[in-house]
Amino acid sequence: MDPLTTRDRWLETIATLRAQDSEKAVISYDYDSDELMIRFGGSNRPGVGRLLGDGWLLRLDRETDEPIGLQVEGFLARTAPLHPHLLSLLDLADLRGITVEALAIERRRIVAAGRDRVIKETIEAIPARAFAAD
Amino acid sequence: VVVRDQRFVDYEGRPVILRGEVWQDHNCPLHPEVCNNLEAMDLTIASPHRANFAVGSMTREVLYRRNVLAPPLRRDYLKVVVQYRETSGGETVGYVVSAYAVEAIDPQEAPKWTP
Repeated sequence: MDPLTTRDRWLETIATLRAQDSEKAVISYDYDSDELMIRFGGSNRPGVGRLLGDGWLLRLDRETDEPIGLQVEGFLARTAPLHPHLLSLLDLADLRGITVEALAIERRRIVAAGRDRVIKETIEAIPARAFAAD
Repeated sequence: VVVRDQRFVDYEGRPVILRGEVWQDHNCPLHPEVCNNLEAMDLTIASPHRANFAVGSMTREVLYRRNVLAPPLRRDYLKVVVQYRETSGGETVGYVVSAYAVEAIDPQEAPKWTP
């Protein structure tokens, strides 16, 4: 059983990821492979991917078991339609194989396919205090 | 770092091309564990331990082979992602789009072939 992804270690793993300095994270997106990569500390270290499910991989330094990155396979095809808010990562990413203009069209297509979810999230975002004042 | 295109032949005899720019601009910076290891690429493409379809695609295959990466990744799998396209002449040609080390074969991928 994977030591980092067992239930006992899951919270610890998430805590480790949250402790990473987001300012130093380097985000890359490659259109041909549809692969999104977040490298903590901009690390170029060799690593191995540990399956997290649904195309998510935690990249680890094999010798230290230290998390060095996150990789998402099928980012536009598989992950973004389920989690459209993650499309914001592309605004921070170094892009390869797609222009900003072409990406904007892809984003509109993905968001439009989740129209129902976007409307519901908008309604949920209405500040409650407007009603509390009545 | 490979700059020129590399040609391989896969486990079904289909040509597979690794473009130099894919290797140089994508794979080596993001997956340095497979950089400078074209022999591992050749072995995995020619005789994988498992070939799967990528999730949601019938034209993209993922090829896995163990024991081809240098220590400390010796026991891990090299995963090579190949996009296949049919040419105007009716030939099927594969293009490597990514390659990296993984601990395990993704159970969410549909199996295509095992030796």
